[in-house]
Amino acid sequence: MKILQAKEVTKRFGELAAVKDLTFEVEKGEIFGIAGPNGSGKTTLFNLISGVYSGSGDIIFEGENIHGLRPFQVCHKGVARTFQIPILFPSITVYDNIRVGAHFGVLKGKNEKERINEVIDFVGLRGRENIVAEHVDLFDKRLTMLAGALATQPRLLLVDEPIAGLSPREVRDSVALFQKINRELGITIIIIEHLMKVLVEVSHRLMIINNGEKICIGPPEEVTQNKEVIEVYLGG
Amino acid sequence: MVVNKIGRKNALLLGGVLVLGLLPIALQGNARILNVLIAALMWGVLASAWDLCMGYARVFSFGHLAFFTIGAYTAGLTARQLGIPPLAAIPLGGVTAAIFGLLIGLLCLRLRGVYIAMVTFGLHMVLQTVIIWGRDITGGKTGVTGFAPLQIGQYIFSPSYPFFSYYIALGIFILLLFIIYRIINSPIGLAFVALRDSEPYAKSLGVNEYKYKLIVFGISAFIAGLIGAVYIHFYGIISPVTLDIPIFLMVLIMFMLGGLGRFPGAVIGAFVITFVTEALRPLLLWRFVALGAIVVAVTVFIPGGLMSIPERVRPFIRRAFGRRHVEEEVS
Ligand SMILES: Nc1ncnc2c1ncn2[C@@H]1O[C@H](COP(=O)(O)OP(=O)(O)OP(=O)(O)O)[C@@H](O)[C@H]1O
Ligand SMILES: [Mg+2]
Repeated sequence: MKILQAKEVTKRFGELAAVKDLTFEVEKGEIFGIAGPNGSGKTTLFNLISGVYSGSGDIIFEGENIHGLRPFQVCHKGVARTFQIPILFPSITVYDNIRVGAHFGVLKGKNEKERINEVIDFVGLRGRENIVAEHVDLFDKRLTMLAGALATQPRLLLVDEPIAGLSPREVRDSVALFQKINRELGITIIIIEHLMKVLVEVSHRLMIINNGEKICIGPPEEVTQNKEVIEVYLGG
Repeated sequence: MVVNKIGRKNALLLGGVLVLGLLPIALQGNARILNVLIAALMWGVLASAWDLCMGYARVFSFGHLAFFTIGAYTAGLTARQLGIPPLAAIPLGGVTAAIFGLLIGLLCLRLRGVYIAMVTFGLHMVLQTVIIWGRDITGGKTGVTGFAPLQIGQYIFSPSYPFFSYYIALGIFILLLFIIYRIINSPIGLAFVALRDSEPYAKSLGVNEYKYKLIVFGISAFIAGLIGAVYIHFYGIISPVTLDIPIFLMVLIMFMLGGLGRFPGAVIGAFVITFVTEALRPLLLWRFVALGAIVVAVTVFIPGGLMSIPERVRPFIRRAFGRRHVEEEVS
C-alpha cells in the first residue's frame, strides 16, 4: 500500500526549478532514503510535502491530496518532520519543546504527560528533559527535534540529514533509533542523507535526485550500481 | 526539583502581593504616595498586557496605547452619553478594544516584525487624528469630563480617596495580572513562546500561527482597553494626552526595563519608572531625557532587564560559595 504519492511535483524559485516533475511513491512501513548533491532539491521536496511551500503537482498522503495545506494542517494529517539545521525552542526546556508537539500536534490528545514521558524514554532523553534547550549539545538537539515530531503521533516521518556533524557513536545510535521508530512504532520514514554508507544501511529503497529531477529509484544495491548515479556522485 | 522551583516563584509572587496589600498601612495613608502607587498599578497592567504581545509572542505591536485609549474613550463616552454605569462601561471598554485588537490582528496576519509595528502605529496615529477632529463627540484636544464616577457608598474611585482607591486599583491589578499569569503558563502561552522562538518548527508541530496571533492581539488589547477605562474613571477625564509620544515611550520603557517576556518584569519596571518620572517632575520635559538615558543604559548593560539580574549574578554567587548551587543550573 502507498502511504505517499508524489505526482509531477514542481517548485520554482524564479527561473530556477528546485524540484522538477518529480514523481515517486513511498510504501507504507518502509524507510525510504533520498540522496543527491548539494542544492539538488531534497529539502525543498520536504518543504513541499510539509506545507512550507506549495508548487504544482499532487502530493497524495493516505489517498488525500495534501499539497497546499498549511504546515500545521499537514502535521494534523499525520506527517511530521525534522529540520536540516537543528531548530528548537531555545528558551524553554527539552520537556516543553516536546510538549508543543504533544499538545498541538494531536487533535483531542489525552494523557499528554504520559505521552511526553513515553517519547522521552523512547529516544533516550531521560535525565536531560529539564535542561533549557539552548544548553543541550547537538545530538540532544537532534533527539529533541525528533521527540517533538514523534509526540505528534505521525504515520509518516520526514528526517532531513539527521546525522551531519555527529560522532561515529552517535551516528550508530541514530541509525538504531530510526530502525526502532520504523519497527516498533510502525512509522514510515523518509530520510535525506549525504553519507551513502549510512543511507544504504538504513533504507529499504533509495531515490537519487539531481537538479530537482529523479535519477533513479530502487533497492540500495541496485541504485548504487547505477551508472548515472556514480557519475553524479563522482562528477558532482 | 521543577515543582520546587515553581513553588518558589509562586511564593515570591504571593509575597509581592502581600507587600502591595500592606503598603497603604505602612504609608499611613500618605495620599501623595498612594496616588503615585495607584498610577503604577494601572501602568503595570498596561505594560504587562503589552509585554504579553511584545515579549512573549514577539508580535511587534506599537498599538497598545491606542487600545488603552480606545477602552478609555469607549467607557467615558458611553458613560457620559448613555449614562451607562462604570461597572458596565469598564468591561465595555475592554471588549471594544479587543474588537479593534482582532481587526488589527487580521490585518497583520501575514505580516511580521517591523511591518506589524507600522500597521499598529498607524492605528495610533489615526486614532489621535480622529479624536482631535471628531471634537463634537470626543471633546477634541481638551477631552471630556463629567461622567459618573466609580463609587461605592460615599467612597469615590478618584485621587481624593487614595486609601479606598488604592484597594480598588489593587483588586483590579491582581485580577488582570492573574489572568495574564495564567495565560503565560497555559498552552496558549506555550504556543506564543514556541512561535516566538522558532515559527517554522512550531508550525511543523501543529501550531496554527494565525490563530495565536489573533489570540494575542485579542487578549492583550482587551486588558489594555479595560485598564484604560479604569484609568479615566480614576482621573475623571479622558483626553488624547494618553496618546502622546512621551507616554508611549514611558510604557515601552517599563517592560523593557523590567525584562521583555519575563513576568512580572513589566510590573517592576512600571513601579520604577512611575516613581522616577514622578521624582523628576521638577525637571519638566528634561525628565524624558533622563528616561531616554535609562533605556539606552538598560538595553546596553542589562539587555534582559531587571528580571535577568538574578540569573546574571547566580554564577558569581556559585563561584563564591562553591558547589552549593550547582543543582539550579540543571533545572
Ligand atoms: N526559499 C528559496 N528561495 C530561493 N531559492 C531557494 C530557496 N530554497 C531553496 N532554494 C534553491 O533551491 C535549490 C535546492 O535547494 P535545497 O535546499 O532543496 O537543496 P538540498 O538538496 O536540500 O541541498 P543540501 O544538500 O545542501 O541541503 C538550491 O539551488 C537552493 O539555492
Ligand atoms: Mg537540504
